[in-house]
Amino acid sequence: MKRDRGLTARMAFTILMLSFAYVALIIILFWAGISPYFIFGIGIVMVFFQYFMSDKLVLAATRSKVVTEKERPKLHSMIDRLSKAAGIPKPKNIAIMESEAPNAFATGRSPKHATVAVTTGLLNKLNDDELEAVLGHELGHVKNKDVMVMTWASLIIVVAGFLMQMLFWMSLFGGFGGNRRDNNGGQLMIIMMIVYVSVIVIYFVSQLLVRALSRYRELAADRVGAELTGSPKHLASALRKISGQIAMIPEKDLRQIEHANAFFIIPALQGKTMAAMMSSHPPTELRIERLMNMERSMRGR
Amino acid sequence: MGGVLRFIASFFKSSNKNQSNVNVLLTVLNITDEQSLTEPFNTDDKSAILLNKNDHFFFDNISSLINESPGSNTLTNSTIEIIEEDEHSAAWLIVKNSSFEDMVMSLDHISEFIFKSGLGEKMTAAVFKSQFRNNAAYLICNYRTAKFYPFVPKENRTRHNELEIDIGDQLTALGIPVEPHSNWYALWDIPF
Repeated sequence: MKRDRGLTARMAFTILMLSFAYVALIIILFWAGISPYFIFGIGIVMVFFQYFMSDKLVLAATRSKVVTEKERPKLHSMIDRLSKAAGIPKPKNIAIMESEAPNAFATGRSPKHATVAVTTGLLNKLNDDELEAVLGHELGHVKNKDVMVMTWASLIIVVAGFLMQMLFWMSLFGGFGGNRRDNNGGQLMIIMMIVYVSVIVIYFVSQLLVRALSRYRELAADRVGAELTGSPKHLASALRKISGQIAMIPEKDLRQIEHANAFFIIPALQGKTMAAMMSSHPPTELRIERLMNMERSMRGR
Repeated sequence: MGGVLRFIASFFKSSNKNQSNVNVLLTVLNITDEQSLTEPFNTDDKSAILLNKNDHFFFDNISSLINESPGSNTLTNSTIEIIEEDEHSAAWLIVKNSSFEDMVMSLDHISEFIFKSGLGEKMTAAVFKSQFRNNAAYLICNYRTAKFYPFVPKENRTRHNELEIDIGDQLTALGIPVEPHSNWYALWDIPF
């Protein structure tokens, strides 16, 4: 299967833009006379903690239970087979989360320390082919080291968010120099206001970039998952079941809607565009479309 | 007479924003591209425009207006029939032609004529009939969104959703713009 050059280029561009955001933040801090070492130091400690503890944190937060090969032989054998196909070690933990919502996730700082978890809803709702496809997608995240990439990409959000809060509280308690009556006080206030506004802008731009990167990583994991199972259509079918797309097909008649004059398509789309930009996952329809294109190219059509 | 009516209609037109949506209809011709299809569509000789005409006088004489319209030579061999007022007070303008391509061209011409007369808002959808895996499958183009979606009715006003999803995939693969699933509204009792 050919590499998706468009996706790779978009990912590279997003990472480049994120690098610019990092540089911009550091320049602003230096310009304002604020040491970036302390701020970034705190951010790095927080991110390191998240990075090394992610598997334990997520398992605890979702109350997922690690299951042994004896307890869930089919799940283990699927993951074992897919891991071998992906050329990565079998994840350290395979877990099940008690939830009717069909879902799955992968976490852990490296393939060796990975955890793959599925919900009971997913196990009940999907057939074996679809389940294998979803597991392939999760192992795609493990293989692509997405936890590491996304954790480090998010560092700027942590740092800018921390700075935003710090500057907000400083402004409330006169830390911007507004209480001082000399010229230096006024000058300091202007500088701090510029820093504050810049940090807010960097924070929101970084959020958009990190979420865009996350969406690209999802598409890349879809691709790996589809390659591992050799059947993109099963992942497409699983996505449909998980997202409840069939349930989304309305029962109402088009003429009823027309009479109610309820075609709100443009505003609805505008809302969706913003939501899409802030989403960590690409739209299911886009994922399905790409998978079906893969299916056709695999079948030589 | 037709020209006067068109002038009056265009004078009172409230919106022409859907005009660019008309040519999207022609993309339905892609379903005849057998090389790109994994499973064939068997096209039917009838298609229709669903009208929300609200007793607008323009539609009283629509057949003759269409036949007098510039470029009406594209209607060769197409017959036009109007079925008035279904249970939703909508009307169906049915076009029949044994050639699918000519039928689509005719429907496109009629749609454009209605749009240019300033009555684009009165058109709800264009509906094409086909057979897919031995089921009657309708391809509906919503004029508001300029996108298509499939509708496969079953008995007792139920729908064959899984087949519709498969058809949706086929349409996307053929480069036909497809509506999001949440806009796949039913059209019960299509009169052809």
